[in-house]
Amino acid sequence: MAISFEIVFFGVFAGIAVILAIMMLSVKSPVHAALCLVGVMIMLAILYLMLHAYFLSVVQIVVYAGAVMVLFLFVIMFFYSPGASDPSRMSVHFTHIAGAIILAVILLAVITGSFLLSGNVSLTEKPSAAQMTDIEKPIAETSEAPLTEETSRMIEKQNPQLVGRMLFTKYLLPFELTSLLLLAAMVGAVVLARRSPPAEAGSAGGDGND
Amino acid sequence: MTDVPMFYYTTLAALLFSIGAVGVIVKRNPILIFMSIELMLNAVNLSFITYSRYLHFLEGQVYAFLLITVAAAEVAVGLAIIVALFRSKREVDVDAASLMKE
Repeated sequence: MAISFEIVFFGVFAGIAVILAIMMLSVKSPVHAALCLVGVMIMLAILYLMLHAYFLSVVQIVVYAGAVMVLFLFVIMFFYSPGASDPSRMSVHFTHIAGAIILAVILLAVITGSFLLSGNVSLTEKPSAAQMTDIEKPIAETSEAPLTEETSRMIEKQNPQLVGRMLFTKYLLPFELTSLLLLAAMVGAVVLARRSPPAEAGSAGGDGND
Repeated sequence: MTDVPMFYYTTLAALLFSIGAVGVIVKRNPILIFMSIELMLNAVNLSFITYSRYLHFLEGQVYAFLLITVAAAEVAVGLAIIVALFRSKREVDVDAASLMKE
């Protein structure tokens, strides 16, 4: 049996994810550990794409690789002085410029390649409105029924719609409860991170010098 | 269906979870412990989505979405606690945070 592309892709991305996870525990600097964790998140997002969970893949990048890791980096930057490597003293090496040029060329190649490919595929056969409604109709009927082979094929095509429909119908109560949870977390974070006012800092005592 | 067996994905999730668990046990820096917890949550998410895909059960993705929300809330509160900890003791070691032990 020949090895398919999918297994190769899985091997590459899973390998990178595991290596980055181990690196996260072995590197010295917390900033480097955070960057390794971002890499793991992005690899997992790619694996979610391979699992046809398109919505969650995007959420993974926006929430984890974006918001959560920025929060981590903020806290790290606040409390760890960079020490020897002063960020204000920028020393530009030749290798930096070379790496930037190589990355720019790769980015340009990817962008132009995707433009050429999309010009061949999506511009010529754009799905019409009639087709869309045809696809959407059976989803509404089968959202409660056990999933057959056909609906599973539908899931691959219409993943964000199906997940959204489920979140806002069958799982509306948990979904709304998460908003309450986020509100409580926000209030809690503000209360915890706020400097305690001097009036009630009796127990904290000596270190209340702003 | 896909060519990749489900076993591969669950093994990857188990590996990532174990690495995160080792980090929680071994590390002493609270931020690194927190990152390891995030890694463990991500591994659980991966297994949720894997089962959702292979068992044709879309609820797994809904649970994964809710899990991401809970993890985000947890990060906000946890980092606020770490900030408060750093502010009260100029210390980057979790073993120093033993105020509530007695």
